[in-house]
Amino acid sequence: MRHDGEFAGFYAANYGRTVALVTMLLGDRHEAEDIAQEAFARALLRWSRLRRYDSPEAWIRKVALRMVIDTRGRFKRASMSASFPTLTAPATAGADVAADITLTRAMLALPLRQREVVFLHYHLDLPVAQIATELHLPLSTVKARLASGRRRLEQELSDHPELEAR
Amino acid sequence: MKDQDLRDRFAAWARPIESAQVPAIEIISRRARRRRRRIAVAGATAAATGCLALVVVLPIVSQRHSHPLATTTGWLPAGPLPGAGAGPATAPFFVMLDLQRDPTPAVVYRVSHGHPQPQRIATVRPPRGVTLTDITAAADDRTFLLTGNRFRGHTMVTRYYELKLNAAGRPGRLIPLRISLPARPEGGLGVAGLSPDGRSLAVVGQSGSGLTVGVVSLGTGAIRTWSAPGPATHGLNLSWEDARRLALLWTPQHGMPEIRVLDTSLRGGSLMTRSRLLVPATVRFGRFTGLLPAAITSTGREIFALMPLHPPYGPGALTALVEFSARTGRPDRVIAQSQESGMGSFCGVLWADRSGRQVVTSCGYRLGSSRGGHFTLWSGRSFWYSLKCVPFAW
Repeated sequence: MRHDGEFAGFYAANYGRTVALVTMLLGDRHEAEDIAQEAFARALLRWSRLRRYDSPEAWIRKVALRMVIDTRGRFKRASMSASFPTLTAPATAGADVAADITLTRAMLALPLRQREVVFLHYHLDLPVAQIATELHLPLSTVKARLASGRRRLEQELSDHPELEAR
Repeated sequence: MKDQDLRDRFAAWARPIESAQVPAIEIISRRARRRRRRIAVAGATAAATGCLALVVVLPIVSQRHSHPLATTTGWLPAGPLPGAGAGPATAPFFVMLDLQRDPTPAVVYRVSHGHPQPQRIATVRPPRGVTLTDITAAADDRTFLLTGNRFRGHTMVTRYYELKLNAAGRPGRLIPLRISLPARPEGGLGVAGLSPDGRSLAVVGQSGSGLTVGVVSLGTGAIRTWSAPGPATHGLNLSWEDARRLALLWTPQHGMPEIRVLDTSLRGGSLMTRSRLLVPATVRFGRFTGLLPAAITSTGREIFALMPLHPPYGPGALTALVEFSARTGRPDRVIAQSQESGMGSFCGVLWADRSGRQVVTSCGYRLGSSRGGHFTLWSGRSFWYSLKCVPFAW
């Protein structure tokens, strides 16, 4: 298959954001890279149609989020069976790493549905209405998830002053 | 907390991820995908059948007739191999399958001490209709054994080919070997190994709910097998310590990875009772605990394996390549350590030289080498996007 230059630009511009989104939802960067690449691979196969969309990246997010749901159960079981402790920063880690871990832990404490809404809104800067459209949810549901997720995230972060040190 | 604070924190968190290099993406044509899928399905079927034969039929038959299935190959080193001692020799050449191309060729690379970036020397195309799946190397740095599959009607058969390099690393033609082993049970990295003297081939396979390690003498065709309960697909890797002893990183059923040593000169039977536990699953070394189910490599004196720093997943996780004594199983020193926070950058050790000063590892989708504590990625290109294991032999 010909590697479309237009697709290459789209891929380069959106790959990192998609990996970040999935990493935040799953807490596993390698799994996130797999999912992001699979999503873009599917997009490439449909690119002649997707390129006419107003927002092809929304399609990518949708596919990636669907794969997150599929992956999450398997991932959760694997993590639990290995009895891994909760995320902690290594003793030699710097303040940035500690802050990243704290943010990840706080986000992972949120239910997945709240996590995705919070990240889409606060990191990807998507308006509430667009999130509702992409997730096929009523506007009020998105607002409720955003408010409760925001509130809980603030509670989780309040005990961790290392974030303030950044 | 203000909204802008939260946005800033997310941005700081995501910056290293979003600024990381974007891997190349490759889509395989539908025809090639169908072909690969067909080979995979046929391979799984043949593997199940083959392993059943390996476990059930071979021990019975081999008691009645010597060497019933594996015919004499006539393939033996003409003289002592230069590196015929323990483990892989320090070598300037290695061979890797280029999974981005169809049909998959074997590519010969050279690495010199002054230039850690590998230089591509030659490409070896497989025979018509053959899909190369694995590579293993003898200790002379010139002899490689390639495994390939081809269809005979609707049946997939496995073929083995010898690849010899001359002094400059130029490859000769692929010479098919007359080894009548059952189809390779498990494709991929670390499940087959040519002994340092080039006289024995070790393979690992699945048999029902258990796994089997088989060692075939390439000179006489004699086969010995050792079996254990548990899936072969779950983290079993092997490396020859010398011409007799085989180091196995094995994850027992309902257990964690451990390293065992099998004396292949002894008769077959239970893998648990015939092998000796060398490195237990509970091993600790500084901040690192346990073993990762990744490739191992042995020099005869040392064994190199990966240990995780808890937590093994997620931000903050680190992975270390640790040298163990092949005699006592004790961890001696950390050779290299992943430099990133987040997921450990070492996914697998592919090779280590005798001194342990240089190791080759897979790093995400790329390969690189670590020398003197510094890790060098070999190139910016990525491998087949959905396949992290690259068949590789040095």
